[in-house]
Amino acid sequence: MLIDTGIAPGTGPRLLTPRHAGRESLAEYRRLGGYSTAGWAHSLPDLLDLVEASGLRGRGGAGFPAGRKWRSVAAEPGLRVVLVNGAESEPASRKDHWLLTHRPHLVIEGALLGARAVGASEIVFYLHTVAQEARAAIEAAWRELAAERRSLPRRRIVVAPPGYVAGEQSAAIQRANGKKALPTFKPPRAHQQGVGGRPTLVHNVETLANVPFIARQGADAFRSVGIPTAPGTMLLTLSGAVRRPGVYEVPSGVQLAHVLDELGGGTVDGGPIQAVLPGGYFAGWLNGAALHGGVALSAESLRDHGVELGSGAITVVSDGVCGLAQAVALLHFFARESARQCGPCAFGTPAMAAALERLARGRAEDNDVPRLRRYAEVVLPGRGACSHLDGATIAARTALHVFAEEIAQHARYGGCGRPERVVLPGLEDDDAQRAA
Amino acid sequence: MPSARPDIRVPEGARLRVNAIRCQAFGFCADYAPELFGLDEWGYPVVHRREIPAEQLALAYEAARRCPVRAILLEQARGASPRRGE
Repeated sequence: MLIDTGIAPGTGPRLLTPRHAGRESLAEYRRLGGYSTAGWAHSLPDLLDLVEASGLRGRGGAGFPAGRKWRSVAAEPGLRVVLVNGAESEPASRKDHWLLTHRPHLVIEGALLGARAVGASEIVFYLHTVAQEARAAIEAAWRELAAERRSLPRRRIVVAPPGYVAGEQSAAIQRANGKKALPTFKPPRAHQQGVGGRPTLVHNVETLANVPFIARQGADAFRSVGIPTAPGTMLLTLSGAVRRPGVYEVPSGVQLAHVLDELGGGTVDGGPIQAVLPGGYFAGWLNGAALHGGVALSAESLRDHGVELGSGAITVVSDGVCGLAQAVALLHFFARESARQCGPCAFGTPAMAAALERLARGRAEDNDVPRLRRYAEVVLPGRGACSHLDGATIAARTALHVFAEEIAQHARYGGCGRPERVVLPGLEDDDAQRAA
Repeated sequence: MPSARPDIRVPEGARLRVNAIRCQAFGFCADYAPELFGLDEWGYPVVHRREIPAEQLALAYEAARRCPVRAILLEQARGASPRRGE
C-alpha cells in the first residue's frame, strides 16, 4: 500500500522519513542516530525523569502524559510488560501502520527504552489482522537486532481482530491473555494488572516512536517544537475531500486550516469545506467555518469548539455531499461497532443513530432534536465501560450543532438536494448496504 | 460535592459507580434508593451524582448489597472509610 507522506516546512523529521519506499533497515536507522549510545546511557531513574520532563503525551486519543504512566507502571511490584498498541482500529488513521511498516526500528527502540525504564521482561506487539506488512516488518527488524544483541526482552506478536473496540487498551490486554478482544471495566487498570496479570505499559505506536528522540536529544530538544501543553510533532492522516491525502508530520498546535491547505492541497473540487472530523471518529464534528476562526491542532483549541484532539485522523467533507448523511452513517458505525456489553451503549448508540436518521429523512418525531440532545449530553455520557459510548455521544452532540441548518432544511424539504453518498473512509459502503 | 449540612464532613473520594458490563437492568437499585439512582428508558441505572454525601453512604451501601449481580461499586480514596459511615 502506498501512503503519501510529508513534513510541515521548518520541521526536522522526527518520525517520518519522507519518500521512504520500504522498510528502514537497522543500518539505515543507525545512520539517523538510532540505538545510539547517548540514548542508552541513562540510568533508569534518569530515563523516567527524561520522559516526564519531555511532556510527551499519548497519541492514541486520550493524550495521557507518558511520564506519569511510566511511573505508575514502574511503581508496581514484579516483572512488567510493554504492550505496543498497533491495532489502529480508527478507520481513517494510517499513521501507525506507516510507522510499523516503514520505521519498525523506531517503534522497537521506543518499546525497548520503555521496557528498560519500567523493568519489563516482555514486549507484546498488538497488530491489526490485515496488517501482514506490519507484522513482517516488525519480525524482520527484530531479527536484525537479535543478531547483534545478546539480551533482548521476550517478544510476542498478538493479532488484533477487526473491530473498532478491539483497539481499546483493555481489549488489547484481553486478547494478549488469550481472550476475546473486548474492553473490560476498570479497575483493574493496565498498570496494575495487564498482560499475564502483570503491570503493563500500554502505548500507541506513535507515542513510543517519540521516545528514542527524547532519550537521545533530551527533553528540551523534544520541547523545542510544538506547544508546551503537548510538545513535539504529531502525525496526521489526512483523508476525505483533500487533494493530497496521506500521513503528515506537523508541530503540535498548528492551525488546522494551514494543514489542510498547505499539506492537504485544499479540497478536491476546490470548493469550500463543509465539515471536518479533526481527530478520528470519536472526537467529533467541526464546522468548516471554524477553520477561518484559527482553530489549532491542540486539545485546548479544539475543546473550545466542542471537539477533541483525538488521534490525528483528519477527514474532510466538502460542500458537494450531504453532511447530514455523513453524520448519520457515523452514528450507525458506532451502533454497529458497539461490543454490546454495556446496556447504555447497546441501546443508546442505535437510538441516537435512529433519531438522527429520522431527522435526515425529514420524518422526525416532534421531539427528536431535544431527544438526541438529551441522549448525547445528559443520559449517555460516561456510562460505558470503555469510551466507545462517549465517542458516539460526541459524534451526536457535535452533529446537532454543526449540521443544525441542514437538519432544518431536511425537516422542511426532506433533504438538501446534495448526494447522500457516504465519503468517510471505511464507511463508504454503508449507504449502498442500506439501499440494497 | 458540598454537603447539605455543613457540620457533616464528606469523605473525600466516596464515589458511586455502576459496572455497566455487569449490570443487567434489574433495577433494584432505583427501587431501593431513588435518591441515588434513576433508570434510563431501557431500564439501566443512571447515578444522580457520583460523589456521595456522608448521610447517604449507608443507603448507597445497602443499594450495592441488594444488586443481584454486584454491579454497584462504592469507591473510596485512601483514608476515607464509608463503611463505618464516617
